[in-house]
Amino acid sequence: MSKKRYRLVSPLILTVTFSLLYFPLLIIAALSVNSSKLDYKFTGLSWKWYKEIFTHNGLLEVIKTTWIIAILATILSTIIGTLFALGINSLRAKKRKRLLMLNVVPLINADIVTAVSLSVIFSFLGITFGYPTLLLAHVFFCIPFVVISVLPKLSEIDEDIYFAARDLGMSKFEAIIKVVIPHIKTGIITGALMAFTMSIDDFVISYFVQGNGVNNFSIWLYSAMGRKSFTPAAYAYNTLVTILIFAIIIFISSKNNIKRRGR
Amino acid sequence: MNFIQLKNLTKVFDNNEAVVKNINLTINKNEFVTLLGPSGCGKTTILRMIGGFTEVTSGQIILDEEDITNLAANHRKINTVFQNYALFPHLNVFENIAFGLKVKKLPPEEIKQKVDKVLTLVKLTEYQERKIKSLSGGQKQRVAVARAIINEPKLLLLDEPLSALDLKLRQELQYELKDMQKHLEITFLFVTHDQEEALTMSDRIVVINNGEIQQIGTPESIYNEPKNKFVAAFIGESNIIAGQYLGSKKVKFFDLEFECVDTEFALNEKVDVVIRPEDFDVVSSEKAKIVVKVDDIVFKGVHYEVIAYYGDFELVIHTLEHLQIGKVIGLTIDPFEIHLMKTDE
Repeated sequence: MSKKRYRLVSPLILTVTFSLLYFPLLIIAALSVNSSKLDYKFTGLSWKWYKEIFTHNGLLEVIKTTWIIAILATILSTIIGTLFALGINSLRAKKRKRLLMLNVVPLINADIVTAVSLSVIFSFLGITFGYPTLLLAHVFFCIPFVVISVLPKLSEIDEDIYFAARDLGMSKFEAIIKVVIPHIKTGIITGALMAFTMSIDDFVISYFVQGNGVNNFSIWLYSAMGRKSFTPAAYAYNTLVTILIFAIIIFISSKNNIKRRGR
Repeated sequence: MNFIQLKNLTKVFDNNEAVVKNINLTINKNEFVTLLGPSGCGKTTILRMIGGFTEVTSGQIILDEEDITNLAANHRKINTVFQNYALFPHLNVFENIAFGLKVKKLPPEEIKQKVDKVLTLVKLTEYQERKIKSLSGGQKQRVAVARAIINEPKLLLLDEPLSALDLKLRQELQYELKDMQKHLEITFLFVTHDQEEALTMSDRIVVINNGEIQQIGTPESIYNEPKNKFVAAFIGESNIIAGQYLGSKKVKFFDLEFECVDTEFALNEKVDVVIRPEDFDVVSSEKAKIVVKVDDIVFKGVHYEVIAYYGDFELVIHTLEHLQIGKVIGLTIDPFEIHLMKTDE
């Protein structure tokens, strides 16, 4: 293709692609302020669905569960994943490669396989289905994400930095907390964010390990769709989550810009 | 004395590879000792075992009458200057130097006082607010030394601390380090693969190869009386010629008889003869037993390096005068410059 023609076509491709990506988000946003409960009829602007998030019985409950699980899973998997990464990093090349492989398998494994196997294991071990199984499952599938974002940071730093801290009087624990962790901070934060986003919108695995009436937003939505129990407040919640994520992205990138300009 | 003792120190890695084999070494107080050897000879592993960063497989490390073999690194009164400095990039120069004292929870005024003193010593007073990233190699090196000596260790370990610097700066820092060591009265254990560095700085040199000590001695004795082929070849340039001891201070090599000063060999024992290139005297061909033709000559600054063949044997000769290629010359050697060693075989 000639350069000239490409210059004409490229804005078109760009527009189509981004419309396809963002159109559904706009639809949800529009539905969230539609005063009608019906998807196909726009009857006027209204904020009532936003209010209903906090009054609707079932919805508020599952949103709470979703966030509690996501926050706890993020914290736990970040701690455990960072420790894993520290351990893997201290191994010699051959063993390190093997463990990295073991870490990658759950990442690329089909969710449905993980879901079924976790559910089988939990019932075999006799763990009560509900909060404990949801949390355990989420921690389990979040850990590899933390490991893969912390490890590259660890291999970047001079190994002797840890020994220098020991040399200057720090115990093993102090040296890791006060010297190594600050150096891999960005990797840990990236890992935590990935873990959080994985947990907050998980459906497949959560569906198989839920129980005793405890479920998360995606499971609730799946079972409420097209039924009487459904409320457009779900659209309102989705819109809020989208706005929150945009805010986080804008915040992070503006912070990075300041840093770059500072240099 | 016997300030530091290494007793049968051995390190075997997981793959059963012995990198340090049965090292016995005694270091006196305020001594500057250098571990010298090619890369991979185990010298850094010895240093890391003394520092407490690598576990000892067997043997003992004794510092000032205390067995520290299994003591954690942070409890040893030893500090280290690491090969790539290992400075903390998130801290500035002052904070890096103050690190050890802060860990010890000294009062801030005292820390400030001590850091100021050390900053003057390493000539970095104006740099105390600077980020580590903005420092040159030589400055980083000084921060690394300052960060270690401020803790007043009984023993300072230096792991090839000058290897990343250019020649001029390296020589400058060699003198500074040596001065500092005399001035501060700290025992230095220095690791390097650079023989010139070792000869310049050390009170004693420990030559290591394949995890074993080859020779321990003053720079002069290591240079002038190497114990074996490895030491002779590794330190300085040398011509190593197979010979035979004929008794009563006589040695035979190149099928010629020479006088020497060594006596501790058996009659007709096979020996290696070491002659340093600068110990040959170039004379006219009729005045010498060894007669060779100049094959090549290279200007080296202070001297010329001459390559000549005696039969098939390549001789390296250092001389101050220029010689034409192809010229026939005679070589003489003073008896005390002919050094005999036991052969390895």
